This record gives sequence, structure tokens and C-alpha cells, in this order.
Amino acid sequence: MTAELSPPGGRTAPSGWLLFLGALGAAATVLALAPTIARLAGLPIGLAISVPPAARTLLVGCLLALGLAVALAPPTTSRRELLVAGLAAVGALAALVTVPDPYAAGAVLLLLGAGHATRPAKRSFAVRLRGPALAALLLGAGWFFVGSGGPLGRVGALALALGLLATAGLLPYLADFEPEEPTSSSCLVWTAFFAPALALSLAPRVLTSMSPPEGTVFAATLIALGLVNLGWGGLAAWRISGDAQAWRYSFVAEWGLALVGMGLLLRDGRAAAYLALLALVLVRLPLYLRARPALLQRAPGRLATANVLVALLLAGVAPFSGFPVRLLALRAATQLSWQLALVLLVLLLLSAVSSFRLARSIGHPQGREAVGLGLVLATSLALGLAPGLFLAAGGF
Amino acid sequence: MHALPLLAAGVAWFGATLTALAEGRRGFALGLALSGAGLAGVQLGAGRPLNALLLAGAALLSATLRLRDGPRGWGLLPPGSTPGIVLSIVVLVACVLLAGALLQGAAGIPSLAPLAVALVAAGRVFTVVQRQPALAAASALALALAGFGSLAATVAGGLVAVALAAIPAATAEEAAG
Repeated sequence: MTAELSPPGGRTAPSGWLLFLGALGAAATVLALAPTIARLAGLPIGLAISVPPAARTLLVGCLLALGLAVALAPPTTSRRELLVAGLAAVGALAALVTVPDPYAAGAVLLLLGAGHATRPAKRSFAVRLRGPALAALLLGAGWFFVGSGGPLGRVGALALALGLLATAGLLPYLADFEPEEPTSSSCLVWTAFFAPALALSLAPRVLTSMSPPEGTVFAATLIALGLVNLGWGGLAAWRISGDAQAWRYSFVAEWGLALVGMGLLLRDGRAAAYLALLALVLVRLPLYLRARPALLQRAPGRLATANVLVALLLAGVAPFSGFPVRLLALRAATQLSWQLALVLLVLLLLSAVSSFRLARSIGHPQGREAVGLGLVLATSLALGLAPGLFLAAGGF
Repeated sequence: MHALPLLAAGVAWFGATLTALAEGRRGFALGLALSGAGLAGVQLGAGRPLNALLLAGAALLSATLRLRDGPRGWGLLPPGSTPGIVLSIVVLVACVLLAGALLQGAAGIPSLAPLAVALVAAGRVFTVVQRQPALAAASALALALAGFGSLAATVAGGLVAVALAAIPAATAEEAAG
């Protein structure tokens, strides 16, 4: 979200509110990452607060990414403002992964939605609040039904899965995307930043409380809608007009793969989902942010070496981050059903078609931009070459 | 024995309906206060006095904050309220039927009060285009999430309801203009 926080040439100091939110975010992040937070669960006040290892790793990754974004910010961007706004966003992420149940998560989503909707954008406040409100309603009602058990429990499992999709703004709740809107105001913040953290913290919590039939409904919904999003996102990223829209649908497709992995419930499937969401936040989102200036100028690009590397990365080719994700997801799908693995393979090939189009839209970064792109490629290589390290950090 | 929770559930639903059918600051504030009081009564009936206290406090604070800006007066039942009235009645009937068919009959109705408030409030958020009704309905939705049960949810939902009520009804540009 680098160049979009301040107007070009602007070196404005952060406002009092932003400073307050940044300090609050920093405090929340420190609290969420502190080892003592697990001890709160032992207190007799009924607040079972904890952070799952996968969500903790994502939080640490976001902090590192923020540090790099501040260090490599273009000279036209106010570094202080970027740091403070980034800390506020990471703090919101920390709050989202720390809350212990879907009711509290829904409430935090509502607040995040309202805070996000106050940012300047083309769409009105009320319209932008609808997505988070729907997600909060689905999570709250779903968890209530799961607690009721019986046939209502299965309806609840369905609502929880749909709530996760509504948070991310995926099909069937695809949010309006305005390419001209700054990334920090657009719906991509939900798809690529907040929703991955919610998925990594919420899914393990709700699954342990569900009965086998409820778990089956939850998993089947995730797999079915994951395949729909993978196929639709892959096709749209390839065929839709406008490179910004193509990038948006590439996020949808990657989320589809993560949803299928989450729904497979096997260790390999969950590991694939975790790595996919980690790569979404640490690789794909920074790549999109690097591509934004070129996307807005609509300059026709040609393929240079860096673009070819990015295309291979986005296609999920070895040794980049997408490769272990695809390998693990296919292995888990094969263990469940070869027909599912076949469908998944076809859709993965379809989603790879758009990679050269997306890579071309990055343009030809120079100076700091080139260093930033190099770091993103290095992160992707680290995820692709040593997934075991990241899986161990995520508790797999 | 069940009269108080039943009455509280009714008050909560009526408060949410009021929030959904108002366009003035007093209407929003009264709706939020009634929703919170009703949900707190349900919590009290379920033997959770701390949750009830937190909910009532959050609702009162939200209502007070909502009184400070936005259109003056009550603004109850403005033209075009019919879909909101129909939605509120449908939610009430659906919750009673749900309690009768799948929960423990009349005793299960109070446990559905947060769901009824959440549905009515969410219905308002999905249909409104102005900022203040959306904020008031979102506060009611947060109170409903706080009323579902766990202490963590009550704390988080209560805080969020207050925070949403603290967001100004008009943007800085609108207020200046």
C-alpha cells in the first residue's frame, strides 16, 4: 500500500487518529505475539485467548513485510505515515487472530469493515459495510446453529463456510472492485490481507467443535466453492479486460486452491492451504502493489527476464512458492478421490494461463522497485525451496 | 419463570426493529438502548449477570454516543418503511417457529433473541445507503453478536458497538459543508 497512502510528493505527518491507531495496533501485535498470551486462557474469567501457530507465523510475516515496505518505499511516500498505517493494519490482524470464537471474530470484522469503509473511495460507506456485515451475520448465526446441534448444526456449518467466503469477498459474494481505488480502500484488502488471517485462525477452532456430519458439510462447502472460485478466477484472470481486474481474479483463483486444501481436512491439504495463504499475503499482494503504478498508467509492457520469473512464480512452477502448494493439494486430493484430483489438476492448469499476462503488467521496475521485486522473488523462492521450515513454524 | 426472558427477548426484537425503522438520532438511540436492555435481560435469565451488565453498559454508551449527531428527532417509520416492517415480522415469526420446531419450544425463544436482532439489523445494513442508519444498524448487529453467549464475545461485541457509535454520522467534509 506504499505509494497510495500519500499523494505523490506528499510528506504529511500522520494525523492524531492515525498515530493513536498505529500505537494501538503495535500494542495489539506485541500482545498477540507475546508467549504470555496463552496464560490468559488459564485465568478464571472465561477468556480463552490464544493464537494458532499458523496465524502467528502469518502475523510475523506481515510485520517483516511491513518493515521491508517501509524501508523500500519510494521517495514520494511518507515513510512515517506508511509505518503508522501499516502498524494499525497489522494490529487489526492481530485482534482478528486472537479472538477465540466466531461471535467475537464477527464483531471484530464489523469494526474493521466500518474502519475500512471510512477510507476515501468511490463507493459509499454504507455499501462498503455490507460485505463485513454479511460475514459477521453468517459467522454469528453459523456458530449459534453449530452450538444448537442436530439439523441446525449442519446449517451452521454451511453458514460458517459461507461466512469465510463473504469475509474474503469470493464467489458467491464477489465484492465490487474499482481498479482506480487505492488498494488500501479497495476490497482486495479483505481478500489478500484480513481474510487469510481469519481463515488460518478460525477454521481450526470451529472444526474441533463440530460433530462429524457438521464437519463434512463445512468441508464439502469449502471444496465445492473452492473449485468454483479456482475455475472462475482462473478463467476471468485470463479473459477479462483490464489487467487490474485480471490481478483481482488471480487472487480469487489462489483463494480457491486454499479453500480446497482447507476442505480436504487431511494434513497435506491443510498444509497446502496454509502455504497458499502465506504466499497470498507475502508474495502475491506485494507483487500486485508493485504492479499498481504500471496498471494505472496502462502502459503496454514487454517481457523481460524479471517478468518471465514473475510469470513462472505466478504459474506455480518449481522452485517458487506455488509449487509445494499445488503438490500438497494434489496429493491430498488424490488420497480422497482421484476424480477430485483430476478436476483440481485441470483447474490448476487453467489458472496458470493468466500468469504471463499478469507478469507483463508489472512493467520494468528500476532502483528501489527492482530491489523490492527481488525481495518478493526471494521470499517466494524461500517458500518454495524450504516449505518444511514454514510448515514447522505453522505447527504442521 | 420463563416470563422475564421471553419479555426481554421481545424487547430486544422491538429495539432492533426500532433501529431498523428510524431515521432520526433519537430513534436510533432508543432502538439501541432497548436492544441492549432486552439482550441483557436474556443473559440475566440465563444466569450470566456479568455478561448482562457488560451488554447493558455497552448499549447505553452506544445509544448516548448515537444521540450526538445525525438527523434530529425520532424519524420513525419514514416513507418506504414497509419492507423493513415486513422483514421484522418475518424474522419474529421465523424465530418462534424455529424455537418450536427445533429447539426446546417456548423456553428456546430467548436464546434466539440475538439471532433475531442480528437478522433485523443486518437487513437494515444491506438495504440502506446513508451513513448514520448503517452505523446504528451495525451497532445493533455488534450488540447481537455480544448477546450470543461467551464472555469474550460479549466483551468484543460490546466494545465494537461502542466504537461504531463513536464514528461520526457525517464525514469531515460533509460536517464542514
